[in-house]
Amino acid sequence: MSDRTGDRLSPNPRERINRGKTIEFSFDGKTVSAFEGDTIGSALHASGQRVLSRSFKYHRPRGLMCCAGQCPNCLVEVDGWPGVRACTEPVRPGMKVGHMNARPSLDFDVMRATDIFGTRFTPPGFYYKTFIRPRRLWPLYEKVLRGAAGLGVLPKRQKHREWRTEYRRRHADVLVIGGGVAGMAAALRAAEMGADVVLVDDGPELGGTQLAGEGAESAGSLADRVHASGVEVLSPGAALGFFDGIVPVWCGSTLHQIRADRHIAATGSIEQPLVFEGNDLPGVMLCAGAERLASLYGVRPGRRAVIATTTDRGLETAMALQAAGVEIAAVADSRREGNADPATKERLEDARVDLLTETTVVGAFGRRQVKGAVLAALDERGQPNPDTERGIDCDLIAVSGGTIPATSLLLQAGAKSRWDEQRGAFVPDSAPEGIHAAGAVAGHEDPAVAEASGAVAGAEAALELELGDEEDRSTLEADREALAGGRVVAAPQAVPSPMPGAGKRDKCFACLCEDVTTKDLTYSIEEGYDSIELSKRYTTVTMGPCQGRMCQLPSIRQMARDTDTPVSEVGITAARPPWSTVPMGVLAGRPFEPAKRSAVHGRHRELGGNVMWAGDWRRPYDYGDPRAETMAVHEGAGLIDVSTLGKLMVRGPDAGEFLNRLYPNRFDNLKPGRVRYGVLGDDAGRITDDGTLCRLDDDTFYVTTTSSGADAVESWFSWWLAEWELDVHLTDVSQGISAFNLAGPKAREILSGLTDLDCSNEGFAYLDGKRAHVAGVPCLMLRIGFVGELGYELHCPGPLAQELWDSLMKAGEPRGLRPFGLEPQRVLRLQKLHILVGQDTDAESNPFEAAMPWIVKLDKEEDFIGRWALENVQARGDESKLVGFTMDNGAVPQEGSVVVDGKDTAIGLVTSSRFSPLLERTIGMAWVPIDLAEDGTAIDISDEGRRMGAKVHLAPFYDPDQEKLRG
Amino acid sequence: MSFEFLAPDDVKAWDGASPMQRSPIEWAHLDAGAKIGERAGWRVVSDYGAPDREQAACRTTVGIADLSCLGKFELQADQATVASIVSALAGDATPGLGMAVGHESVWWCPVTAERVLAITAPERTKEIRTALEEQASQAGFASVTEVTSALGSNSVIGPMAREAFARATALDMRPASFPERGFAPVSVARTPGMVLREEGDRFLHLFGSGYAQYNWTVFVDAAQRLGGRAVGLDALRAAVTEGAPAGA
Ligand code: FES
Repeated sequence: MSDRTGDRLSPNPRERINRGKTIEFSFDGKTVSAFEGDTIGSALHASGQRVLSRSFKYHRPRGLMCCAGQCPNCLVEVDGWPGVRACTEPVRPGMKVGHMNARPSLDFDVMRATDIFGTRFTPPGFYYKTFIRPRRLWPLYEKVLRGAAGLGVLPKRQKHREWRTEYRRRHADVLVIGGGVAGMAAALRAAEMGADVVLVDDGPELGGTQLAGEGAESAGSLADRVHASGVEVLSPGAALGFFDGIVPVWCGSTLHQIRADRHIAATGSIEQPLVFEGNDLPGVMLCAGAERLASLYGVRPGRRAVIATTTDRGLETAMALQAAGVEIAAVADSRREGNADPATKERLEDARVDLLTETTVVGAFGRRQVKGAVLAALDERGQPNPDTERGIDCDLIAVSGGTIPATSLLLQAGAKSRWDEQRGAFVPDSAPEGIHAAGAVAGHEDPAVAEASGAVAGAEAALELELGDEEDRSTLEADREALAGGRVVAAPQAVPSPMPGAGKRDKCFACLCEDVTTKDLTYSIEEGYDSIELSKRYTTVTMGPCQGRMCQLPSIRQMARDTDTPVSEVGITAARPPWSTVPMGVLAGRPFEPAKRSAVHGRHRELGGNVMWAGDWRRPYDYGDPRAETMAVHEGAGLIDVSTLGKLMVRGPDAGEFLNRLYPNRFDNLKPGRVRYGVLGDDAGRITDDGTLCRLDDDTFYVTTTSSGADAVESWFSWWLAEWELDVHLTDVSQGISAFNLAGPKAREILSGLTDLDCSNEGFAYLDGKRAHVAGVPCLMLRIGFVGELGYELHCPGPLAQELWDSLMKAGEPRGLRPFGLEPQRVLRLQKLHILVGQDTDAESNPFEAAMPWIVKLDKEEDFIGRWALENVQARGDESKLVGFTMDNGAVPQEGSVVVDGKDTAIGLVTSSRFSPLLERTIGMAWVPIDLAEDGTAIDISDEGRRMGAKVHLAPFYDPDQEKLRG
Repeated sequence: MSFEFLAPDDVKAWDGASPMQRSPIEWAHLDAGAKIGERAGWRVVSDYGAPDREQAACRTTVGIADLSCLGKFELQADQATVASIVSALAGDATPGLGMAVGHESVWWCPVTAERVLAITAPERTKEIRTALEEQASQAGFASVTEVTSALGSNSVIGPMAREAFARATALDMRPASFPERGFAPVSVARTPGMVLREEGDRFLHLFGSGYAQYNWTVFVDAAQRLGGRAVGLDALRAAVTEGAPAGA
């Protein structure tokens, strides 16, 4: 691709480019020269590349249109990232830019056939109608449709799809959205009155539309004052929406979540396109876009231009482009003679520009880019008269259908809108408290008036926050008066109705993003989608990357014409975020994955622990050999880190009563220094958690919970404590107390060597809780046995946990001690038929049917949670039962396999299953109907359709008489 | 009374030495090149091998220091009892919700009207424990639970400290909304936590100690992106105003 320096204009004082510094990048593999300060779009246009993208549905060529990031026409892929707007993305040396949505190339796209031959077959909603039969082919259709739809392709590999966006929370007194003169004036005024202000602007520098025009200098000096005033400027930054007071602003690699007390929308206005045949051809540009290209980047938008306008805007563009060296072939002004600003008109005449009043553009011709325009005179009804059509050769059609206020953020914030006949636009009305509008969005288009309106909004916001003084109040009054006398309303305009799209020459696009033609809109109305909201959903008009900026008003006008309804009654579609296009990854933000780790996590790593998620903890699944770890517990000793258990201190004179009311068994009669198992249930008697409780003294209980249930149990306890108002204090010490289970026949020997405590069976009996120092570390020791061997659960302060772990490991090494992980623990506990709440129980399980009837003390005097329900369960009798089983064939059925009857109907569920290396057979737990819950009963288990025989086993598989545990 | 298995300083000599207390993430500090020193029975990070740069971070950007060694106690009682116990130990001052009281290197932080968190330099942990228990035993119904190990704590210090927090929490930390001594239970990096503004741009972040490594990673990473870094206690000490309350 050549560097077409011929399309560069002579330097002008407003241009952003540095002609002394050349930058090279590639587009579709070809080298492009640009100047520092260029955007990809300006550089490509200067190099002669007019087609930048292909359209969404018909794959039509598209080129620069607005040059302000407002339309869908210039989306390209940059360094593998799709969906980048070429007209706002600055060039960087070496960047790789490519087209999107065209195969095999941008110049020759086979899918263009849809435009040429397939239009008839692809009306709105065609995919609901066409691809439904035969149904079995849907997966194929889906694949084809998915391949054809969408804009751009994400990088294939996950690691290339990831990038990082910071979330930054920013509180402010005042947030100003929009960095044009109104926004700058608002920010400056509020800051001068003492407010903490954030100003957001989507351009690379403050100044808005003034930057490309004669107001550039004064906008520049206002910007300097803003920067000097301490206002935090986020630029270029896109305000994405308004979410209950939070405005997310995407700015580079950061998503700022801005929470401000007051908001000022100075979002400006949006120039509207005209709808005519071929209005999407490269070379059809908005007037402001053509001016920006010429003024900011010194790039000639075209050599010979036709201007079509409904306001003075087009006349000004004609003069600006002519001054820049573009030949103006004609200016078609849809207004009647005498409606243009006389001074502007006079300047136009002086410049010898041919002004055609009551004339509009009805077509653009050219195959891949504009070669000419067709103009026609308007009749008394404002419709083009076909008899007056005439063609004019040109390579640029600059259009301006007037401007509409950019109200989306205001509407999202709760403002209402109303149709303003004089401005020909929906304008904001009655903004909610704390939300202000300034500048063009509030109807103040003239720069001087816009600045005054900004100052008023800034002062009002600051005063509402009780900032400023009497002088500020009088200044505000003066500003308000000046504003009232200013020119508020835009010049009169006459917007021709969108072309009906008869297809004489080409398609008329109401929506460029989604390739919705005026014909499509008419079609949708004929099909019954005759409200703008319904039509939007059916045709997807306004749902593309421009978010309605270019297409909302044209589609509303079309709906009004086709349904013969006033525009004011057609109404406006709901404003929804995001207002600007944003990658999903930006919204996701930096990934936070909170994980708890034990105080000896470092040791587990050193010992080769395979760390996995267990609830919100990271803990070792095993240390490389789960079988050997299991056998070590049976043959010598094992040490497992159970610090993940929930741990609560329950203290106070009413602690016993409190626990009596929460648990179905008794705790007020538990002696200090003793431990009891507890199953926690809800009001319906269903099991929610379990754990052991140790009474430390008369008023204090140490309660353990399951690892994943700790937070829920703490909340449950707190909730009931608030309700019962007992003299009890709760403290959650789960994360501070480390706990290790030392288990196995050698456990006593190991422990005895590290403590002065009498560890004999008499001195430290089963279910005793003792406090003593172990290897110098203060511990609470519970003699319990979840894994079925003689065992001690040692609880100690986290900061000393590593000392204790190391001492135990050292003392145990000669006795065969080895660390064991979660997996061996699961096998060991299964051998004892000890349940895991949440795995062996579900939201329906009660203690009776979970084979723990002994834990329910219905003879307790006090009421307890779930008592009524459990009495009913007892009266009704068990319907199912949690039982153990062994497999006949030695296979290990998956957890979640079903117990089936003779007809293969599921009648039960396997909750746990493992191969026990000690017992050398497969064991498990399952819920079965009560009539099968007999020792030795044969049951059938179906694992993904594979039917296997098993036998019910009610007693623990290992040490059923608890001799090892108690010995 | 408190219980010795909750008190990490209640150690006994064993095998010729007394067990040392350590941060739950000492291993991560060692991985990062930490030099370990000793402070009131704790193994603490003196520096990460770049003391000058660590001090500079505290002065010019942001430094994160592990202060797991601070003593912490939870006092629970009815509102009047809490106020009177705190007042007795904090020079007649009582904390109002949202504002902590700093007195002689102890922070009294109101979690609720009936629950106060006392945070002390490790050198004074025993003394504060004894004083609190004495006061509580004289009250009708008050309990003191040691939570030194249950709560991890990091100091976040420097002109960019607020920016580091802004990456992880929605708390409004502007001086007007969160002045010196401001204290707030708040979610930080999606975990429950508490934040205390000790002075100027020095903040104490408290969290469940199970989240110590997670929070450390989150904050060091945020600090590094802001030009800051992990700092040892030497750098922290140098940056703290002399006579300021609490840990450093
Ligand atoms: S030309 Fe780039 S968004 Fe319109």
